[in-house]
Amino acid sequence: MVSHKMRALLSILGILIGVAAVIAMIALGRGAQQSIEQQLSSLGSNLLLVMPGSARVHGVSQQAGSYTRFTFQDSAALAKLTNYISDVTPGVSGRAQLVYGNKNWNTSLESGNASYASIRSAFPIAGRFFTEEEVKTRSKVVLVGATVVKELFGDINPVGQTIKINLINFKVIGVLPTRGASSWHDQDDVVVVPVTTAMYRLLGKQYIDSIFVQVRSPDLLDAAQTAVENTIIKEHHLSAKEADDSFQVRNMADMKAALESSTKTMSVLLGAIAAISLFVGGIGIMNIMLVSVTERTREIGLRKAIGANNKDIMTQFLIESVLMSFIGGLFGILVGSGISMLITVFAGWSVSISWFSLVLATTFSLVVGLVFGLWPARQASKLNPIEALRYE
Amino acid sequence: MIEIKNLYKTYHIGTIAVEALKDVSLKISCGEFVAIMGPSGSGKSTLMHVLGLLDRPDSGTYTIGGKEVQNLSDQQLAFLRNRLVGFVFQQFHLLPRMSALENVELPLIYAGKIRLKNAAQKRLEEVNLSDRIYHRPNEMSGGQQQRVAVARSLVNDPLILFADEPTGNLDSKNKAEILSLLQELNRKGKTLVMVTHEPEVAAYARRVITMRDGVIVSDKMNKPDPAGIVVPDADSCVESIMDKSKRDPGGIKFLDYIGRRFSPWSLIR
Repeated sequence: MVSHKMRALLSILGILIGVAAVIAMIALGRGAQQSIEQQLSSLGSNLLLVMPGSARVHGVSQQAGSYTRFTFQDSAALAKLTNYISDVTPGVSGRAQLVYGNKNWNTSLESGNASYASIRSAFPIAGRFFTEEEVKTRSKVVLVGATVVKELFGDINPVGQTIKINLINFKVIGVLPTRGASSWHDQDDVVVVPVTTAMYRLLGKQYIDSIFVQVRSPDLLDAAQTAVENTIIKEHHLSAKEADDSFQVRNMADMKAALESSTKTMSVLLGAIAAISLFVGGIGIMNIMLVSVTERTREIGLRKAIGANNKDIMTQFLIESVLMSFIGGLFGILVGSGISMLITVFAGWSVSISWFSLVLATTFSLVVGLVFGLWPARQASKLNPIEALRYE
Repeated sequence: MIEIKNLYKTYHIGTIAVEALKDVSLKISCGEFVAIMGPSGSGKSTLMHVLGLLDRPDSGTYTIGGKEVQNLSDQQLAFLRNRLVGFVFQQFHLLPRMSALENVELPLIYAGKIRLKNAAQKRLEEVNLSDRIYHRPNEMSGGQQQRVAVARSLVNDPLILFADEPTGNLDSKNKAEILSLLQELNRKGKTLVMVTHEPEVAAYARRVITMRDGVIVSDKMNKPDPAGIVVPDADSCVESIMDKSKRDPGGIKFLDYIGRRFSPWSLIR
């Protein structure tokens, strides 16, 4: 009996591991997907980025902006497309040298108008954002990112301090939210100033580098893109031939789709691994059931002698295998959920367990029990009662 | 009640054909106690398997209770085995994981009559095992195990009881106990067919059939019928039992079965 118990437990373990793997893998895949979505929304959601194209002079491409030069008139024109667009922020960017006390730091400088906060999801975690008034008056106010805070201020509260940017005094009015590092650069190593301040006081630029456009809803992205293109063409009196490379509109949805399809690939991969382990578990069950049929040959013979028909015997063995894999499935759900939570706690990955994966794993374990129990059960039911009774 | 005519049965062991039954004809009427004797390989076990519906003859007719059964399907044979016949084996063939009571209940489960729980208990009392009903087979002596097997064979109230060397694995004290139990059952009206190779066991029967090489070589009465024997009228009862099978709701049987046997812990017992 002990060997029986052991055997049943071991084959249950096979299914358990399979189901746990399915659940943990699906949870991991979904977690990855969600964290990617989160990263995307930290860039700002539903965004179009309008950038000037580069001119070709005698076949040689010039720097971006050398062909079409965006001005505040352009951004104002785009802001009028209220059917599609909720907000617009023009911006210039560059590098800047910061000095605070005896420390200095070189960082990237971004700029925008008062809508920048909502468009780029950059509502400050401390202090405030600059106002439209401050943009108009080219105020010397700045918001700093987390890395800048660490490098320049250490433990000091930066809000209200004065720093020098390219030797000009600025007042720190807020701290930007942490965006985390994307693989290529530290998104927190940044300062944000009003666009006018950046153009006329810091970088000496006459034209806008780029315009961020926030579209009202994701399904309007394509329509909004067309409208933006048409507006720019009209504003700059571009011919059809020029329109192609004189400016470009970049759509974040493309990037999003690419990222999502890569996470989907990952989910499929993980799912395939889980399915294989479930399959192996099923073979384990089949093996155990075949052994069990052989071992209980005399029992089967006796049951037939006292009136069990083939269907009864088949049912008995099928139920046994389904039950085994179902128990494995139930405990697999517990273990899989546990593993997912442990991953969250220890590895810090975001995982999410979905009802879908629970239902899928349970159904799958039942089906595995049924499919892999079928053959042994048939073997059992086809035994000849006399031979079965004489089996040693 | 039982009549076989010109029965043939051949086994193939590898390439060798063994003629286990050669043109065997036999008639057994209700209330008889028949012993089938013969050396090993004489075909006596094969004859019992055919009579007990465990095996089909190659040719010939087999009539039981007025119905020809040699051409019935597996399913119908299983059904008749359940209702019409009971088996007692040399090796007892009790299921080791079950108590005596559960073993005796087993035929009731396949008959869909599991609700008649006390039927099993009553049979165990009849074989003087009322104090052992919750014991497992390995906690009982050989004689007790065989009595459980007898109770199991009786629980569906069969027409005929088949005993295949019922005392082959028992010591002489238990042997006498089992044989007198069988004799007692016969006196109460049960038809008994017993296979044995020991003359002293066969002496308990009233009719002794001797087989050799697949044919019946002698068929003689041991002693006159004792007075007061009950002879039930069992002819044509098979038809009514078969009819009942068509009315039996199969679903209930199946659900009973699940409920009884597949509580989750039955797996790890």
